[in-house]
Amino acid sequence: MFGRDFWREIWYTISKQKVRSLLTAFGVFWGTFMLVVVVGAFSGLNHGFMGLMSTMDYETLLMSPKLTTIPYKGMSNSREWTIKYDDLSVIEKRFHRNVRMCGGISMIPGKKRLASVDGKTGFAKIQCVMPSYFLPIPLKMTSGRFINDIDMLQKRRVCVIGANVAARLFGDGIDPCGQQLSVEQFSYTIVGVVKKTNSTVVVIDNEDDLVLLPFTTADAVYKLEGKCDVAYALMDMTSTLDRDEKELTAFVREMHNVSPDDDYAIELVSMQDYVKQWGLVFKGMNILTVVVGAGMLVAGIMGIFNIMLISIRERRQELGIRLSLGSNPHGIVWQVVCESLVLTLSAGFAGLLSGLGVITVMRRMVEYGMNGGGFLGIPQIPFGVTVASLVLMLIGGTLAGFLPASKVVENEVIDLLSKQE
Amino acid sequence: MIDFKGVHKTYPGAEPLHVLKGIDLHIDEGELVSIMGASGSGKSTMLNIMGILDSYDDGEYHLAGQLIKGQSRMEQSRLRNELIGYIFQRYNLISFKNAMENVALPLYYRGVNMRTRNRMAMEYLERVGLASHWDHLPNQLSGGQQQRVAIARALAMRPKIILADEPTGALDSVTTQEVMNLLKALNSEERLTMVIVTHEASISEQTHRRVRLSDGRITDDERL
Repeated sequence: MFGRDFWREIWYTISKQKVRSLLTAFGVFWGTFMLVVVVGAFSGLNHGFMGLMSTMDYETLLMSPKLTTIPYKGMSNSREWTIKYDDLSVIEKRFHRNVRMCGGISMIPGKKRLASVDGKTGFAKIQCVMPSYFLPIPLKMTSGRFINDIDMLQKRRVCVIGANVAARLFGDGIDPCGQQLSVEQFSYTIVGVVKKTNSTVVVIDNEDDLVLLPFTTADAVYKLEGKCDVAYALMDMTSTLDRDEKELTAFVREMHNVSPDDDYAIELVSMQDYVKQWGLVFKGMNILTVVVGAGMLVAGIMGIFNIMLISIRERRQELGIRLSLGSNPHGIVWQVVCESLVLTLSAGFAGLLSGLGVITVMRRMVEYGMNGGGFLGIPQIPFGVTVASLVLMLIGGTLAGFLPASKVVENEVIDLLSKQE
Repeated sequence: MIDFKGVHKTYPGAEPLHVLKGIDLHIDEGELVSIMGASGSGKSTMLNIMGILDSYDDGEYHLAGQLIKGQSRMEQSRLRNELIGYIFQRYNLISFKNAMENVALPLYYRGVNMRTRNRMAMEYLERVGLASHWDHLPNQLSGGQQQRVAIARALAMRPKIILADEPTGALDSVTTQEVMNLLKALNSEERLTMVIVTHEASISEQTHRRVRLSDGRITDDERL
């Protein structure tokens, strides 16, 4: 029954009804194409973000002192307080068991005028950081090095500049390391250029547009008096992390006479919580893309159902002729099922291949650096979705042919021949 | 060959239609029989039951010695394929297949391979005088030509009987005679049993036996 002639007959019927076949096939083509592209592209987004985050095997707890809201130990509310540079080593010592290191960040208010040796000028904000800043923030060095401990100890007049600042002052493709940069009346040696690799993680400003100075150098130059706008602690990911964080913040409050109940006096951001929240968002979006994509495919298969139903009605007479010429009913049903399957699967494969083609092009683009500020990772070919959609097409295509065909052959042959319902 | 005993047929509906009211008819092998009657007399229904294209309610119908009743659809299709060739008023050719492919179709269902069935189809087309038109689609053929293709297709089944429902109903008088000559020749040369439903006296006069049907009953059965 399934010899060459059988398939020839099926191909013949399909190819002789080009418009109908094409219309039938397009829905499925589009459904599979969109499913693969949407799910694949999303996987790129997902890998881009979660990939960067999952490499972080420690917690970063960011603490920003705010005005107090509760009077405590004889001090009124609305009091300004700060975490000082010297506090950091005290905290490190006190919590040495689970805090790897502490750090502080300060912003110099306002934009400062910059000038290169060549006389090019620009404006940028200045941020004072410590070597550990490089750990929790998704940055990469496009040239040179980051601020190190010796810079800190010796209060060296060095700086690291953001990629955008480097491009503006020195031009694209020129390595500014070793050159002097004037920030108003002070001059610094550029030791590195940083680029942000994930623009969703922002502590104060995008580093691409900043000039970063060693905290101690800036402290001396700008008279910060050791004041940190934001302090952070890099903590081990232990099972007692929540309690450790509470103890740490309680300790910080106690150091500065801030009420333990004053939730507004210290703003806390946990990087792990942030990752978890994004993880949930991505999980939800992932489910949504699969549902939407699968919905499109199901709609495509429904189209096949619909058109097979109509085409069977149109072909009642033809099927009646075939039956009168000795085709058996099973043969008719098989023929219609196989027609439906050939249509569904060939359209599905075409959609699948086109979709995978688009994903491959996207992969190339990401690999060549068009990664949308690190937000796009390499899109994965969604293997599970591919297999599932094939199974769906197989089942859908079979039913789309079987249901109407098995119904039609129950008729008396003469009823089919007379073309009436 | 064909044996009807008290065959009844009613079409169900809001007003059930009792079309055949006890038909008794015996047709021997090699006979050329015409069935005449006014429209609605039940002659086409009778032919459809003969051809296992339709079912009947009461009575018995034996075809080639076999009782046709309660067979599965599969069994019915096997009997149709082995015994019966049909010629319809509206030809019933498949519109997207050319003349040769239409004739070859029943052979396909017999499992004949493509080369052989196309060669055989060409022989049958030759027989009806249309070999030169083998690659024409049905809509590129005249009515008479289409009916001759349909006859070639019926012959390709190598049937025991040929059942023709108003085979010349859509044809002009000249082509009608051509088709009739062909059918008569097949009857005499191949000893094919042939039943022709018609309402034209000129057709029935060319057959060997005329059965008249009126209101679901046989009113007259004469040898010519």
